[in-house]
Amino acid sequence: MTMSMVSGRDIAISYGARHVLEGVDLSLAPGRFVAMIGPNGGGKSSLLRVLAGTQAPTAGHVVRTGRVALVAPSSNPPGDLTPFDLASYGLASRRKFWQWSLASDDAMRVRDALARCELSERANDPVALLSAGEVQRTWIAAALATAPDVLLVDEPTTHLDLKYQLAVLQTLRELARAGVAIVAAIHDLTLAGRFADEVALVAGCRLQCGPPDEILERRALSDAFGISVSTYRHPQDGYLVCLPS
Amino acid sequence: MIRPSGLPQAARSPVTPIREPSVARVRHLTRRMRTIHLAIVAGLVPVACIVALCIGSVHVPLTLVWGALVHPHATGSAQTIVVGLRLPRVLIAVCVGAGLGVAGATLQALFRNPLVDPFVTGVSAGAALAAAAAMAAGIAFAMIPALAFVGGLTCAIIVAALGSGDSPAGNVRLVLAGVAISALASAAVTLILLQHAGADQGILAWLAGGINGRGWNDVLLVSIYLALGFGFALANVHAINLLRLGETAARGFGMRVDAARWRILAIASLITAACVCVSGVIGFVGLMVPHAMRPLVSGDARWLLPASALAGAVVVVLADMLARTVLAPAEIPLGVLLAFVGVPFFLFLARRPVEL
Repeated sequence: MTMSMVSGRDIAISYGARHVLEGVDLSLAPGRFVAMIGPNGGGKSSLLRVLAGTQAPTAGHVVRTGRVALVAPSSNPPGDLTPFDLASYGLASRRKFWQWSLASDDAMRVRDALARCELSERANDPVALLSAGEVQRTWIAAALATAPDVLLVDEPTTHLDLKYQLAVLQTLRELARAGVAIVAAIHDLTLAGRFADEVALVAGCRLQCGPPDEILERRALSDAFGISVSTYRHPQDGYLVCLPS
Repeated sequence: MIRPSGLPQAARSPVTPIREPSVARVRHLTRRMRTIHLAIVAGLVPVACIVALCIGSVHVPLTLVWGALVHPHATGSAQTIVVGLRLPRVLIAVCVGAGLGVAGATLQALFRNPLVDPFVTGVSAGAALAAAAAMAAGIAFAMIPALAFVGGLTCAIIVAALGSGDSPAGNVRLVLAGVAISALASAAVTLILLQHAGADQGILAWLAGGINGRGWNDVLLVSIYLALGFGFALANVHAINLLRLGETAARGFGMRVDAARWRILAIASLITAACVCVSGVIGFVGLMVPHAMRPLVSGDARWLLPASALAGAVVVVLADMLARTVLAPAEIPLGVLLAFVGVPFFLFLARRPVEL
């Protein structure tokens, strides 16, 4: 049986009278890339926060056996920071105040995280001079520097062009291969199906989780998003393409 | 917000910058450059102090100032002026400037708002109200900083509670709440002043912002409170840095954001209260100094806090020197003088892209 890094039982999330999720059970295994999809306001970000422990569920409980990092940037990082600085800040809550500079093993961990996100060459450039994709990968590197077993990423591809969307998802894919459990909230259904091992559909207060072929199904998607969605196989590459019809 | 590559930056809501900083403005400051800049600012502190000891309504030559400092217990007019009158005043100015600089830098990082300072957050007004009430009630001066701390923290908590949230709306609410609470506290202080107008003109002079007539006891008192405040602030530099990334990101990195925010707010209130007790309400130092220092040492709290302390000391020492010499033998209240310098800077800031 595969060990679970984070497991949730009977999770419910409500905001006042509005029920967002009810009776959600899930378990995150190492090395799996789960793409979380669903309509806006469906509860993807809330569920990620609950899994990370930064928000308490209305009901149910979450057990974390591994270290969890949540990448949910809500604003631009200060432009004068470098990727190295930003990734170092990620370790701030572990540092004692007298550790004015980063300890050598922590500095090595930060450099390693930046290398895994292909940011070594830009490690000392101000964030304001980085491309949007590099900024997004910097956030991921900052989370990686904390050596998480589970990496939860909220909308890593939002605002990115296709090239950078692919680059970020490729990075997440490789991290999953290296053994990190990844959950990423993604809006592009085709990319979700193409990169993820499993797809979790969050809609109508429920969570359905399974292989992409099973979840990315025309009727389920149409119901979830409230529009007609077509799915078909890419003629050359064979992956599922999901488009509004 | 177009980046050089022509791509929008990956973020959902730019929170604080009034306008996005131009890319050309941003440069990476190496550790060496930051050290050099910090050393220059540190070097300006003794220079400003010596100048302030020499210049006044009576000019004291540098050699006599030096002699008075080396032999403080000797008798003579130079000793009386330099050691008895000017030195405690200059040291108070150093403490107040350093305190307001650190409090401003801390609050701006905490609220991720470049327009925030002890004045705007209501900390100064709250501390002033508590201190004025304590003075009017005849409470011993040694107790006043503690009461001012309670007053400042109370106002800061009210303002922070009204303006909480990692969003542009939260920041606007914060500034509005700060202005409102400050106005309320100022009105209450005016009421106290009116009731004690005949009895104590000292409260009015103190409130206008000024360090006239401060002695060695005041130096000792304010330096103890500030040493505590600076110690706590330095112990929280990593938390302050993490909060620069935004509340949501900080939570994602495992930070207990609420506890850290209240802790840092309390530290800024303690420092501000100590300053307000000896100098009254002095605005703009907490706003201007961190902005002036950021391009020199970056917004990293490990560099910005010491740099803001040193630069704040230089600004207040020189401003106090001007305050007592421009219209000598009369004095301009320090708060009034700094407002004349600070308001144009504030207006300039409102038109300029700001980076935190």
